[in-house]
Formats: sequence, structure tokens, C-alpha cells
Amino acid sequence: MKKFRKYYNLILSYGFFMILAVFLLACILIQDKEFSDMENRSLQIFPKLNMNTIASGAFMSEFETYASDQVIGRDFWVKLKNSGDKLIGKKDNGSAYWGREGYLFSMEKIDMEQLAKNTSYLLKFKGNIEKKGLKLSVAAVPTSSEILYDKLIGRPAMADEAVVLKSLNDSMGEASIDLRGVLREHKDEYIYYKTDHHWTTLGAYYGYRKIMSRWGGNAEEPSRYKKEKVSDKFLGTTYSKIAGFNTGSDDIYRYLNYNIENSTLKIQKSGLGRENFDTIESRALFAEEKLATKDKYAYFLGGNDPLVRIDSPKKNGRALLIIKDSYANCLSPFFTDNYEQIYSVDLRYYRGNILELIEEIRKDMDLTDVLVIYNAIQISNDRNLVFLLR
Amino acid sequence: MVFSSITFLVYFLPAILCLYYMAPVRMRNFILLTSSLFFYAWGEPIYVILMLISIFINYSFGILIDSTIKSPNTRFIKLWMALNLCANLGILGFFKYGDFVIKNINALFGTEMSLLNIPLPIGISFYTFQAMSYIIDLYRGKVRVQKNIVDFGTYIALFPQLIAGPIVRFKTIEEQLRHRVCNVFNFAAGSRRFILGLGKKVLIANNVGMVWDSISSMPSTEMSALSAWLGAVAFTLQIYFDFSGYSDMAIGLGKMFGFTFDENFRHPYSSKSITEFWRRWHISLGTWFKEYVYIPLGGNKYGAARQTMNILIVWALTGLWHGASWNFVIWGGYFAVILILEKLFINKLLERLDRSESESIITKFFGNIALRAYTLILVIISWVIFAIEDSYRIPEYLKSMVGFSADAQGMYLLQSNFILFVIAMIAATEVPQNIYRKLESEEGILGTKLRIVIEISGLIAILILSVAYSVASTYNPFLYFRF
Repeated sequence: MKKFRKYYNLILSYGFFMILAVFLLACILIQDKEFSDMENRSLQIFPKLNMNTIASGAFMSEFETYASDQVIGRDFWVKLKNSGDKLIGKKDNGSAYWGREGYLFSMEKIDMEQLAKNTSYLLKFKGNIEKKGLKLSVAAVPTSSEILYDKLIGRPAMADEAVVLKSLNDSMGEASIDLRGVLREHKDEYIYYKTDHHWTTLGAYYGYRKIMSRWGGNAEEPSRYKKEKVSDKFLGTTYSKIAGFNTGSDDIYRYLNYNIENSTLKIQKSGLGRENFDTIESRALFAEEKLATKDKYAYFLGGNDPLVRIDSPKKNGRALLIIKDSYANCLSPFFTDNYEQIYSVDLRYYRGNILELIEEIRKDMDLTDVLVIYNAIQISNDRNLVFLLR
Repeated sequence: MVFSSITFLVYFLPAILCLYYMAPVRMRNFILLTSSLFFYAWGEPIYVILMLISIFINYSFGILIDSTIKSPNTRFIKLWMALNLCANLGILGFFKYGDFVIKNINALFGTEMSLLNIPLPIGISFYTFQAMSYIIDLYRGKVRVQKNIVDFGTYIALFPQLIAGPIVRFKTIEEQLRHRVCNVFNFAAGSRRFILGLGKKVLIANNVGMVWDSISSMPSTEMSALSAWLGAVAFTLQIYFDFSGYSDMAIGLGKMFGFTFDENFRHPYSSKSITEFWRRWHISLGTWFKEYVYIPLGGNKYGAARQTMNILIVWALTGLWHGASWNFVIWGGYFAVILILEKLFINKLLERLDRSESESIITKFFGNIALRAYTLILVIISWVIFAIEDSYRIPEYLKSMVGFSADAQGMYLLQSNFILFVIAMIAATEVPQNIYRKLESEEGILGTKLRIVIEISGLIAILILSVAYSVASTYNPFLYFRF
């Protein structure tokens, strides 16, 4: 018996040591990865080693990240952790919740102070463009957390988007377009992605309809569009927050009609708004090449650029200016039925003067509406809305 | 470096174990000292110098005091002791309590002295207390002088207990520095202990900690009783599993190198009185304060009034040791009052309830529950005081705990973490340990085989899950790090 115990402890001892030693060797020998597809982020590479980084502790803390990021089998460990969370009955991992039917919801916080600031910027901006005879419309699009709340298991406290909408409705009045009604009407349809924080093209379509009805314009019936699935492997931003989570992927659709199919896109990359669009090469509205990458939502308009213009075959001399976040990317193509030119500005990258841009557009086109469209979280937290007043 | 990081588990630990066991036996302390200094410098590249200074000061004073005792002229012995105490407490006081003192002076006298904003050197409370235990025990003749600076340095800096205890008295380790048993039994026992501690910290403590984090960020005016209690229980579980997990890892690591440290936690949440609780929680700290503060103050030798005073002083200091903030002093005082009351009359009441000798299983059962409930409720409340550093927010939190209200977020957190809480609560009791001991005592080969299968699969499962949670979690705090 004693001998048995001795052998048992021997095996335990060597076993424990060997596990650690093998890990160490594997981590040293196997090459470091620079990017994690599953987690959609760059991984820490071996940190700089010099007197400064040691004295400041930067080398050590970066090494800690490095050790964790480059641990052998990282994807497996991350997946295991997520399975563990699920197994024990947790409904979130601190960054995102998992709900029913495979819906994932991102954990967000609303910066109330920034919301107040942004509301005041929008009000001032409204005043500025009304002086030029234009009309401002602000659409804060609720996210799936707001509209599909009952798909969450339990009733966790989510970022209060109702407060955002109320604030905008109260201060903007008629200028605020509240999309909650129309989206709730269709909440049993596939209007939000399950693994991404964006709305689907269908959701965007309902948004388009509501906006056009507020503007007294026409929106085609859904049946008049050709619905095409362009991908069924989309795993989006929310998925990256629970990377490795065992869940189904999303489908990406595009809706085509004559105008959309024959529209082209011009991208101004400089961000100053002064390049002549006529000198820029046209490209397709939809970026096929993005479907082979992780960031498939960039299929719509190729992602986010400082200033882009969509040219529609509908030659009616009318233009629309959209100031936006990425929620508008799958929305803008719908406007090709109503406008000859659609300008989209992303304030994160655009460094030009909006009022000057408006004057430029008005030289050739009839511009009457400016649409500010962000999702409700972004419109509260974004720090770039101050550039509306540049 | 934290034990639960990949850096430690995959890089540091196997490398050090290799060095230690491949080197000749007489080099072992040197290897431990250098790797411990490296370990500490990793987290504190500058403050490692402070620890070296502390080692040197205490080593020198040790020799000085020892030679003074042995010399015919012992006049200066008290002076050396006083100087040493000043040096140790001075360092501790300056780095840890400097700004606390300044803030209080400003508040009291309306002055506007600016804060020093010195970052707290990790582990300073632990290694300073260890050094002081050496000097005081040397003075009392309980230990012999340590003339080998490598051995002494190893004692102070030993990385297993450097950062978060247990506070190892020199007495405990004196012989072991010279000669310790390194065999497969100890190593295997150490590995087991380490893995269990790792699991406690990474799997349980970190996860219940997220619940407390969530609730403590709720505005307390909107907190329902459900959330308030959930938060308090979450913190109660977090601090136990975090701290005892770390102690387990420390003891396990010590064992791997042949050291046997004293236990620091003995299932404190199974206690039947607060008196008992403090014999089971952070035992090394309680022992230190008893030996080096309570007893020198006179303990219970000068009557009840003096004893009460002593208890209050010791507990105010115990509280203060935990952090430079008044809520910790209140926390200490809270226990002082309860302990005094228990000594005076509550313990006699409790004894009547504690019918472990009673025949009826039912009375035994209910008596037990009543005692544990009494203790746990007082303990949970104490953790609320401990956890909230802005003392003025404590009453409102405690107020929220009264009643039966519930809110949606509280319900959600309860649902989401129910299984976790149940596992944690069971793991906090002696039940798992008793089951294991029962299996261990099975003599037959079959029983042994069953135990081995359970043990090995359990350990591997915990290790694998711990690595996963360590790698994938962005949340890995350590509560006692402020020491």
C-alpha cells in the first residue's frame, strides 16, 4: 500500500510538472500569432525589452498580455471558457448577453453627459442649416437590445435607449424620427443580426419606409425588390465579444431593384471634402471582396469612409446628405429611388466643413434634406458630433 | 506576477521548479531568493529595492540585537528594538498610510497639504510583519539569529507568501530554511493544494466577483433588498475564495519546495460564533496580532476593563492593516464590539444552543443552523462595511438590505449566477473535504481506485478550466492586493 501511494504521488508530481513544462516548451517553440480571427483583434506580440520598459513596468505588463494572447491553443481555451459560462447557467460574460434563438446582445452603457452635449450640438446644427433653408431630420435607430428585448433570458438592465429617444424627441420635436414603432411592428422578422450590433437590410428597409413617409416621399413595396442572400457565414461584432461561442451565423441579404443595381459609389478618402468627385473612379455599391473577410458588414458601401457619394440612375436633380455611423451603410442604397445623388459623411473621419459641403452640393443639385442617422447608443456616446459645428 | 496568470503558470513556475530541483541542495535557498526577488521585481521593478532595504535592515538588526543579548551590556537592547520597530513601521506607515494621515490632518485642521500619491508597494504589509515577527521572537529568545543573509532573505522574500500571505512567523520556518523534506509526497500534496487554490480563485472568486461588481455600481437609492443581499453575499464569497484560494496556492507552492506553512483558513464560514470565526479566518494575521500586540499589551491579565481596551486597540489596528481608510477601522471596531459581547455573555448563550452533545438529531440540526446563521449574518454585514470604502455610503447600503423588495436586474443576476452561488456555498463548507477524507480512509483497493479516479479527473478538470478562465477572462482582480 505504501509503495502504491508512493507511485501514485510520483505520477501526480511528475504529471503536474510535465504538463507545465510541455506548455512552456510549446509556447516557446510555436510561432506567435499576430491576429485572432475568432476574437477579431490583434494579439500582443513580444514586447520591447530595454531599460525603460523594465523600469516603467511596461515590459512586464505587456508580457503578461503576450503570455495570455499567445498561449498555445488560445482559441480552444476561449471556447472552453464560454462553454463553461453557458453550462453554469450564466447569461452573459461581462461583454455581451446570449439570448433566445441564438441572439447575442452587446453590453453597452450610455454616456448621459455626452448625450446632452450631442443633443445641443444637433440643435445648433439644426439652426444653422435651417437658416439655409434646409430641413434636418435626426433618426436614432434603436438597437436589438431595445426592440428584441424579450429575446433576452431574464430581464437584465440594458442601456436605456428609451431615454435617448425621449431626449431627442423632446428637443428636436418634429425633426426627430422615432423608428421604434415601425421596428416593433416587424420585430418577429429578421430585422437585426443575431451576432452583430447592426440592423439587417430588411430592418434598414423598414427604417427607409418610415423616413420617406415622414418626408412625404415614396417608398417601394417590399415585393418590388429582389431579395438576394450574399452570405450565410456572417459572425459579427457581438460574436467577437463572446468569441468562440457556439452559435449559428447570420445571413446577409441585399435588396435590389433597377435603381440600386445601376447605382455607383465614389469614395473620397482624404477626409477634407475637397476632392472633385468627377475625378474619382466609380465602383459598385456592394463590396464583394469583404464577404471573404471577417468584417462582412463592410460589404455595404465597402465600410466607413469620410465622404462618399452614391450616384443613382434616377436623374431627378435631387440630392440627400446623410451624416451617419455604420447603421446607414445598408440603408443608403434604398434612397437611390428618390435621389440622384446621396452624400454620406462619417464624422469620425471627415475633417471638412459641413456647411461648405452643403454649398458645394447645392451648386449642381437640389438639396433640401439632411439626415443624421446613428444607432441610439452611438448617438449618445459619439464624441465627433461636435464637428457638425466646425 | 499573479499566480493565476499564464506568465506564472506556464513560464515562471516550471522554470523555477526545474532550476530548484536540478541545482545542488545547498544552492536551493539562493535559487529561491533570486527567483523570489525576480518575482517581486516583475510586479514592482522599483520597489524591489525597498524590500531589499527592509531585508538588509532587519538582517542587520537581528545580528545586532542577538549580539547585544549575548553580551554583558544589554543596556541598549530596548533602544535597538525601538529603532527597528520604528524603521519597519516607519516604512510601512509612510508608504501605506502617508496619504491617509495627510488627508485626515487636512480634514481635521483645514490645511491643504497636497497628497504624496505614492503607489503602494505590493506585499509590504506582509513582508514587514514577517520581519517584525523575526525581530520580536529573537528578542524573546524564541528563535535563533539568522546570520546567513541568503537564508534570511529567502524567509522575507519567499515568493509563495510574499504577495498575499500567509504571514509566516520565523519560528515556523526556522528549521525548514536549513533542512526541509523534498519528496514526491510533499510535491504531490503541494500540486494538489495549488490546483485547488487556483480553481477557487479563477473559477469561483473571479466569477462571483463580477456579480458584486455589477451590483456595487448600481445607485444605492435604487437597490432592492434582493440586489443588496445578492451583492453582499457575492462579496462574502468572493473575498473568501479569492483570499483562501491564494493562501492555498501559497501553501501548495511552499510544499512543492519542501516548506510546510501553517493553515490560514479553516472553513471560516462554518463557524458557530464570531469568536470561532476569527480562529478560522486569516489565522496567520490573528495570530500575529495576538502574539505581538495583544499579549504585549497585557491581554486578559489585568482585568476585564483593560482586556476590553486591548481588544479594541488590537481590532482597530487589524482593521487598519487591511487598508488606509476609515471603513476598515470601523470594520475592525465592529468585530471588537461583537467579540467583547460574546466574551461577556453571548458565548454562554451560544453554548446552550450548540447542542452537539445533544441526543436529538433535530435539536442538534436546528441548533447548528441557528448558530451558523447568527455568525454568517454578522459576517456578511461586516463585509459590506469592508467592501465600501466611502464610509458614508455604508448606512444606505445596509438600509437597502432591509425588506423584501426585488428588482429586475437583481432577479436577472440571481438567475444567471444561481448555480455558481450554490457551488460556491457548498465549496465553502467542510462537506467536500469530509467526503474526500471519507474516501481516503477507505482501505480496500476498490475504494482507493475510485478515489484516485475522482481525484485525478477532478484535478485535471479544475486545472484545465482554470487555464481557460485565466486566458479568456479579462477580469482577474485580487482583493488583498492593496496590502
